[in-house]
Amino acid sequence: MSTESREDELEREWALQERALDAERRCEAPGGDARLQRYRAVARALREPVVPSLPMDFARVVARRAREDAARAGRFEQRFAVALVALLGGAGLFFLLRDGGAALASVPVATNAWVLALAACVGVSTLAQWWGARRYR
Amino acid sequence: MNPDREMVDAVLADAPGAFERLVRAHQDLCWHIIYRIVRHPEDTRDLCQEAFLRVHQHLRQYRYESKLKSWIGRVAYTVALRHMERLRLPIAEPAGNDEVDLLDAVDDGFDLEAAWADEERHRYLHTAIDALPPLQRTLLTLYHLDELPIPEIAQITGLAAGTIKSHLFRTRARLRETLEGVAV
Repeated sequence: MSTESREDELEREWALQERALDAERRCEAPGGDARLQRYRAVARALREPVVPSLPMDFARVVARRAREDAARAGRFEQRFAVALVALLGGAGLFFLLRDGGAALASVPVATNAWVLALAACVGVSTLAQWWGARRYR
Repeated sequence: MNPDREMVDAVLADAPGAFERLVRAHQDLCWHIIYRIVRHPEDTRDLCQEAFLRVHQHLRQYRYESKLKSWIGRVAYTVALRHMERLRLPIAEPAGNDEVDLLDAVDDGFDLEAAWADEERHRYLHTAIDALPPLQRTLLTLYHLDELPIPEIAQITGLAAGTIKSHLFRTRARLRETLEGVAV
């Protein structure tokens, strides 16, 4: 048998399988030759629901579990961030008290005022963002 | 608005009931994929839950490059494959073993004469389907039951479209052959 005719044969068989699937999807009346009927029986069996199935409350249970996991992860991240900020602040304060006296004295007063103004701007902006996000929620 | 985008945005905004709706919309697909591979109801339920928790955790990484259904299906497929790997179970039959006769799998204790009855023929066919390797079973289910087109199945399984078509063709032909000795 030549390659071409073999390919033709495979293509015809595929078309028959697809015709059987299509006939089952459209709930067509039984018909056609025995080969098509067998493919239709296969397609029918394959379209039957998979049993057993998931419990009725599966979606609710999973959604609750996801919420709990997310809350747990969020709490951990929040505590970790607070701990890091506290550590950083503590270390900064420690070094400021120990070595910062001379350094602060050498900074001109005008510069200090600008730094304070910048810090105030950043602080107000951050607070406004936080408040906005809280209201949106 | 694209329904996938709407659903994802709602979940990411933590809208009440949004994730539950997402799970409900895709749980059958996940169940089909995982159950067809794992074939153990308890394990399948746990793995489905694991798949959806991963979806919830990684939803920000979804880039709308495929349908949400395919992306979730891919997560479920990966979870099932890892489970099989942990248990060291194969999901496809070894190469070159395509001609295994499915009748071998259903012959034991099965009366061919009785298979003339509808109920028996039905059972016979389902036994043959259950005897298929997990990969072939999954591909057939996605194509026939979930009615996914071959390109979407390719996105879920990571297999080439030609490979999927070849599996579908050969497996359906083999199932049809198992019915040769049985009236239809």
